Amino acid sequence: MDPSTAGAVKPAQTHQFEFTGSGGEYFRIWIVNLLLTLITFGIYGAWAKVRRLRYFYGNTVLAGSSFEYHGEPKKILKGRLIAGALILPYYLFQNTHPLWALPFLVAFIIALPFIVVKSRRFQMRMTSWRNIRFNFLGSYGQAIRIYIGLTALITVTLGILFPYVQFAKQRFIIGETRFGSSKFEFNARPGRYYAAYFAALGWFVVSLIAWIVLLALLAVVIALAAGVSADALQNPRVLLSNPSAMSVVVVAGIIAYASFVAAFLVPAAVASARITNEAFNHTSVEGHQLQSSLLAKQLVGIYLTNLFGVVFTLGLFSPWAKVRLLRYQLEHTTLTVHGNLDEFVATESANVSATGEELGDFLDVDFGL
Amino acid sequence: MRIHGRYFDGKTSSAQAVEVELFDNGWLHMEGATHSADHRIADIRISPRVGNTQRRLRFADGSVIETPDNDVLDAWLAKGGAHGLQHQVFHLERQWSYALLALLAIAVGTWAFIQYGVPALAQRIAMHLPTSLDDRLGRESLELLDEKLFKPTQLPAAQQQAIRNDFNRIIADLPDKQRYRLEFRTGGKVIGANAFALPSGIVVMTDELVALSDNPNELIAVLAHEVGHVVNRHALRMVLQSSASALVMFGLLGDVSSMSSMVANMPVLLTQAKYSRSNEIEADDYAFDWLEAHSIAPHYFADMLERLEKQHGGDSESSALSYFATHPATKERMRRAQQSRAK
Repeated sequence: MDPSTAGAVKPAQTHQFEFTGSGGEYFRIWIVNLLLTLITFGIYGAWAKVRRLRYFYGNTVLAGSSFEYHGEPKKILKGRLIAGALILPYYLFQNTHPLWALPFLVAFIIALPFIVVKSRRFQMRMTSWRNIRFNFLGSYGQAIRIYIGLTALITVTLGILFPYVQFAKQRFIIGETRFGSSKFEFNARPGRYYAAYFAALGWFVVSLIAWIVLLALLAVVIALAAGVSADALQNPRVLLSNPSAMSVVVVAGIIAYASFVAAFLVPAAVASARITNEAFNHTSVEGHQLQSSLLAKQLVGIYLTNLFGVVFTLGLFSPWAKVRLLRYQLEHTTLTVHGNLDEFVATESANVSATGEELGDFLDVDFGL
Repeated sequence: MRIHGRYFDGKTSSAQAVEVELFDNGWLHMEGATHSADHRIADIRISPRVGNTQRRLRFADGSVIETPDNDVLDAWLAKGGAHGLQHQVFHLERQWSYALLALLAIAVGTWAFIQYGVPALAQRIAMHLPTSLDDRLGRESLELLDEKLFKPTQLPAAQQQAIRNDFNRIIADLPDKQRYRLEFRTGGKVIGANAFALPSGIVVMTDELVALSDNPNELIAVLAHEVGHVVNRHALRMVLQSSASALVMFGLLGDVSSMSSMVANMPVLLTQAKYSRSNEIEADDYAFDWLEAHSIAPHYFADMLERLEKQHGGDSESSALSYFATHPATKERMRRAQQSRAK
């Protein structure tokens, strides 16, 4: 060791997350695996899922090493079969004897904290970086308190508690995540979550007003295009007997629906950008600090172009849409390293069954991330 | 063959650059600053290749070499016969030609399944389901229609009875004839001349349709068509078909975000129209068969359809829910009716 550097503090180094895949490459993987899944009536789907996640994890690179997904197709298939066996009776009863579906629904609500914990634990343990696995140590007790207790209080407080509950969920999910034996520190402030949702709410009102104005304009355009007076539009009989008016109305309906969805995207992007930034900017591990610099404006652009792309290509654009969004998110996330990244240490961990994650997947469980 | 990579012992995250020599006899030798080892291909778990992501060579002690040199590694594995089935999938994923073929296969397969497979399946399944399901489908319909649209019939009792006698002849040979019932209503401006069947077996005919007819056989033809809808369980099959189509679309597009749920619904709506056209043809066939079996000339059906068409064409303001508005594929049906007339 060079005596002149002994005791000197190594300067902080910032590493940016990279995504090394492409939309075209993912499209090929997606479409081939989709065909194989269809002709095997879904059985191959477990292998398709593993390949898909290996592609995304494997192309997410930090400091020269990519992440790795360790899920095993056979275990995932087993998990899916069990999850399906539990969920199928619910769907059957819902359509034939709705009353019998009720106990299943109650059971699912009670089971939600367990599903969240098991699902997250499986997900984390199946993830590694530099051959060190992640883990999740959140307890069922904590999950029950947040996903049932606090969540129930949201309605009691007429929604005022909602931003705080989102904060609590993220603190739970991130704070109990481990990388090897290292703990993630989460120091975000609940106040910023409130600010984020208020901003989103404001934008929602603006979008709604803009949308109503658009509808009014559409009504005028229809009337002019179809040569029908505006108040004749109120009369359904007039519309039904006039095919050209009908088709203009249908097109207008589609535009109205699409613009409503688009209007919703603005507040969603605002909330997402602010909350993700707040969460990441206050997450660190072993003194290394994460940063996120998402911009709502750019997110809206990506959401909108993705929406139009997916709709006009009947879904074929979706692999590119997914890659675009992920690339944007990763390229605006960095890790500032104080010291070096060589000092993380692994721990022993037991096996976790895949049922938890597959149940969570099936029921589209939202971790609040 | 030679590849380079980074060695991670699995105990800490420290990286060690390594050179790896791959031998034709299935052995590899790794050389790093502080660690070197020899391993046999059979003792190494090699991650399947996906795209061009970093590959992992996992050893029995839990340590790993990460390498980006996929092509060289693949050549060595091929020599050693160590490629699994997943590598075949990788070859399919690699070429645009395979991807486009897959896309074509999915598109054609899905179209064929929805066009032919789903209706065939729905028909088979429906025939095995109890009629109590059809009853449930139409249960509150008549009450609702009476509340919102219909007025009581103005037909004289004797005329109603005469038509009812004809109706009873039509259902006489059906095993579940007790489910069927004929009801008369005044259609009014909105419905006008029309006849339809509820899945539970209730057939409704409006005064305006009766007034339009010239001959009792014309009404018999229309009634036989409506009975044909019930006998063939059309309402139930429609429910099964639209559920199946929706399920197929969800299965295909489930991977896609919810933003395209509208896209998923469109094809289902379009196929609905297609299915109901074939239902009308099937009900027509039922009517033609019954008329022929009971020595009634099929031209009565054609006559009635023609008159309904004239009435609809001439008066665009009223009868928004008239016969032709609610029974699709009219040109096709008229043509077939006229063909039967020529017999």
